[in-house]
Amino acid sequence: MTAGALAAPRVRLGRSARRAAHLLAVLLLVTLAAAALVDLMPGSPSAAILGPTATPEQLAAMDAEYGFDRPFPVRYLDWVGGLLTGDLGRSVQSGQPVLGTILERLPVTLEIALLAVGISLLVAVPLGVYSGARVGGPLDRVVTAGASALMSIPVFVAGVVLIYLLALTTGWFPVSGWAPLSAGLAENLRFAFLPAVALAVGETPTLLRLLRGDVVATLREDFVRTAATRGLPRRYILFRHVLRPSALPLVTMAAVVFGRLLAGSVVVESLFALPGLGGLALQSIPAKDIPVIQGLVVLVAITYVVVNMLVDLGYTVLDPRTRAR
Amino acid sequence: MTNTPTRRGGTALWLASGWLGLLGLLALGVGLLPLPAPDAPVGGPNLPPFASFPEILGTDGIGRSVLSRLIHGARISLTVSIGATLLAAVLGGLLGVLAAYLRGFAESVIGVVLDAILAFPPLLLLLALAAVVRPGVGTLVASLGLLFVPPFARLAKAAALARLNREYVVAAEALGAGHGRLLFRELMPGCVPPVASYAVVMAALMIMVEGALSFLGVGIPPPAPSWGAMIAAGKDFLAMSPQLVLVPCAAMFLTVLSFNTVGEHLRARVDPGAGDAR
Amino acid sequence: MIFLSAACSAGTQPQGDTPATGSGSAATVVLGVEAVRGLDPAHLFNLTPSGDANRLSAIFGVLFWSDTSTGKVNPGIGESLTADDDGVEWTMKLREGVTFTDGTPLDAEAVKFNYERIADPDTKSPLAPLLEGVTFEAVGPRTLVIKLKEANHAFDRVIATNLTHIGSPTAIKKDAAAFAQNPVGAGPFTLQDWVRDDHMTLARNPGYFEQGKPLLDTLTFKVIADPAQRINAVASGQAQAAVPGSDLSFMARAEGSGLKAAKAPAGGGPMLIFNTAKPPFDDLRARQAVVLALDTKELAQVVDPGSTPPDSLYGTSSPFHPGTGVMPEQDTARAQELLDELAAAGEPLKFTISMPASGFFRRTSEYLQSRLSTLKNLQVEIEVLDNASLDRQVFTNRDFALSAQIVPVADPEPNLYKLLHSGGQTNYMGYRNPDVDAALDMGRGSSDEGARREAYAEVERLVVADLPVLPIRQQVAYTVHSDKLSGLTLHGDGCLLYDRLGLAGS
Repeated sequence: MTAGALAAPRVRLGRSARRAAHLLAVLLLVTLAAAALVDLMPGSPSAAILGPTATPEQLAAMDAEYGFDRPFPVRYLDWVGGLLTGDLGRSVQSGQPVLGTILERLPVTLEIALLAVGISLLVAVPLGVYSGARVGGPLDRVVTAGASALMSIPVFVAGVVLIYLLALTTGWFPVSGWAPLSAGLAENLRFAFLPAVALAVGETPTLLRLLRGDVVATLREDFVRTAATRGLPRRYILFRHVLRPSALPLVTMAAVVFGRLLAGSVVVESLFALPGLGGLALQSIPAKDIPVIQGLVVLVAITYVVVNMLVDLGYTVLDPRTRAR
Repeated sequence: MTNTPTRRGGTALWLASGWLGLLGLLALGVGLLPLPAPDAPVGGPNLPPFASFPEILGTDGIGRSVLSRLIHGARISLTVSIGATLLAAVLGGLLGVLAAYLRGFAESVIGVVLDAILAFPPLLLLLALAAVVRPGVGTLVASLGLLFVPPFARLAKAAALARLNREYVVAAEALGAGHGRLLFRELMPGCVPPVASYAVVMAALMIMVEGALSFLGVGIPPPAPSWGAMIAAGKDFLAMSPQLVLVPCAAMFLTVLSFNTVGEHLRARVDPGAGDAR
Repeated sequence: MIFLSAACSAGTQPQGDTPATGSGSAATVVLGVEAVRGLDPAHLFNLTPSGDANRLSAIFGVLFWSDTSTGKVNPGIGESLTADDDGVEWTMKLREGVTFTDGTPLDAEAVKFNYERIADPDTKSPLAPLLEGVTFEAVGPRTLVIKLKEANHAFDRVIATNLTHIGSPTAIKKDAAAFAQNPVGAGPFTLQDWVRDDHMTLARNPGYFEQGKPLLDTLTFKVIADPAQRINAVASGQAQAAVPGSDLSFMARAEGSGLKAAKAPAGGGPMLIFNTAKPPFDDLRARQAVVLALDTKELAQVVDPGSTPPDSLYGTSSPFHPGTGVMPEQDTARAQELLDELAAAGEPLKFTISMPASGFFRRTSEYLQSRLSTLKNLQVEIEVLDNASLDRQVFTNRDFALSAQIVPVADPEPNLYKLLHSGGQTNYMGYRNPDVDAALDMGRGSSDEGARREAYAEVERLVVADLPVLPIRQQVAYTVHSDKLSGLTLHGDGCLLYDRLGLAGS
């Protein structure tokens, strides 16, 4: 998913302008598609809220109150207008402002995504460096096979197994739920750990393989060979000369993974009953809570765009190898 | 990303290919096997494995044959996975090559569309789609296929760009070859191997995504026996009859692992310096 | 039906020793659904114990409450509720000196205000139909006279189940939207802190009308969507009580892991509903064929392991239970005959089962499809619907052939009337039988037990013959709890009364 690697840079200024136009077009297209999609969903949010006993008059009154009865383009433009002034509207279900609702849920998803990336890096960096340094060795073979196996575990399987082993059987971690940071860091981490590990299972191999490949390539380069002939200790060479050039692609990939987790934690959040964005999406879609769904789509799209911009920046400005390609 | 084509991985590769081959044969020939229908009752609910002869995997919570459902499920999981991958690979491949060849405005438009697909929260899209169109194999193939167009398009674009400047393409252009000829005879063939080998890896991902959707209750509707649906249904009886979850889980894991193993082997052979398109 | 104000504990669970109010005693109760629409009693929508209604009694208390098992109405903040001989004029007496937590009095005017607000079309209350054409008059500070449009000797049950929570008129008048988020009632607890979809913390109301209650200092509601996880939360000590939902297998699982369950068996329960207003199930033979093809014992076992099918519309402990089972027995041969008959008439039976996505109903639909697939001249498909689609398609548009709903029947009033009367609110089957209507009206219009028994026996006879519905599993409302928690009393469809909850060893 490394977008930047494929873009062909030409004139720098024109490029940024084009890039900005591109991103704006992406955002417009995404929100328009989301609005159209929700518009196609059968039933009105009013019916979902008022329930089966509602009379047609009640439904019509509520449709008018929230503006569901206006034509689609009008509603979309109105919504874009609100977006520009920072107003995402109100949730149909709860009547709360969408922005507030999302911000209330964001820390949970943000925290487990960050933790998952952290855990992945913690595992991937030492294993990646060592297995890359001893290609074909016993450790490398175990790590490579292990990475393939981890990659093949669907996240819901990982979650169920973790709950069974580390929560139900041993009772070390809570089965589900969430403790906010205000309940104390230790308590918070106890709740966040299993969901983060479940997410990390699938992402660790991505980082590990990237790093291992990079290490293998770097070790073949001249400056490393020179360092080795100068008699520097191998461990020093590995972390000083080899890990350094790999840090950038690694961080970039970690950012991509992070973005992916922000948008893709629905399964884990539903399994662990976390009050995050995924849970919000799962309950808003069947309820046809259009303002909330739209708000989530925008948030995910913006995250994607920002992550990609950073990736672009990283590759084109800092990494000499990409420029050479 | 495996920079070392593993010759030693021979056994694993053979095992993986063997499993996929067996699964493919079972899926194709499921009608010929002496199995009960996947929705027919064969006994009481939750019969343990190996309790009675033909039902060596026992029965599920409804009293249907787990063995039959597992094999019929293979057919559905493979159909969804391979169908969606093919759709994504063909569409993505075409778009990617076109973007590389046409450049300019067309490239920008294609780029915006691809980025928009990537920027759309995937599960949100699939959940919403499940509410709009009645879910089924066809709709799932179409929506998963569309969702996974961008990575293929990027791969194909990179491959096409690399070939555009090669001598034989330049020569063909100089000899007055038309657009069609250049696209279909010179550029496309070069893009097929990387796209095809990547497709095998993507097929593995598709199986997991289908499982996740069924787990959330928006995959293939019952009574069709997809693996994901079997896991989701068995989850309710995890303490009582864990095999109802473990058997389809194992099948899914082995299949995903096999697709990954084969796919990576192919990628390592096709393009030893394989990019990081994932 | 006169109640004395003496404390009464006709709960479904023996109360045992009343624990002392421990300083700082706190209990957590896990529910399944967030009160998404806020906590305004006028928008009380979800009566199931895992939803909205199970929070409201903590904040608003109850005027009256009905026993989940028997439907018997008991006093709460209200002292008595009596009908005149015709069952048209009801007199509600309130206790002296009850105040809301904002200091304003909970008097007859306050109750009148709440009820008139529910009846007002502008409020868009789902409860409005219950008060259609009803008038109220506060004849004294503690006395409210309620005049019904038609005789109803069971109106006290309507009040106890649907109209029992009263909010502060002052707070509601000030800002109804804010009131839903920050409710003011006269219940045992007050809302302190609410993190949506996570938890709601409530603190003891020191001014609660009953001396010495509530027993707990802090009550926390937690929301966990997955029923198994709700039980796990109690098993692991994170919570003291949980409402896992309607599946009885969860109750067995909880008891298996050393937890207790407060139960209230009743009548009714989850039932298949046939759309009798549309083909193919407007034909009695089609309904009979499906019902006779089923082994209801196995069905109950499959959809909810460890459970049994009901043998009557009424619970085994109900005075209306006929004593012997009246539900049709499986007769596959007869079912096949009926199907062949339908096919010979050129209309082979073919239909779609429309079901909600929960595990219970999903298994029900898969079981039906699986078993019915063994018969000839019958084709069955399944359609799984999310709740919004179910509301729209099945309950509002009635565009379905076979679906399901859960109707707990403690007393036949009011739920059986709503289900089977041709104008009933939950009669999604479009079922119309003048004899059933007459019998239901007779039951409603009578305060004599013998006459009622006769009327409801007639209702059951007709329903078993017509088969607009088929109850598929016995109804038991329950709450899972740790053995430290005591005083669990179930009211309504199985909600808790929070003022008597106590924690031992704290």
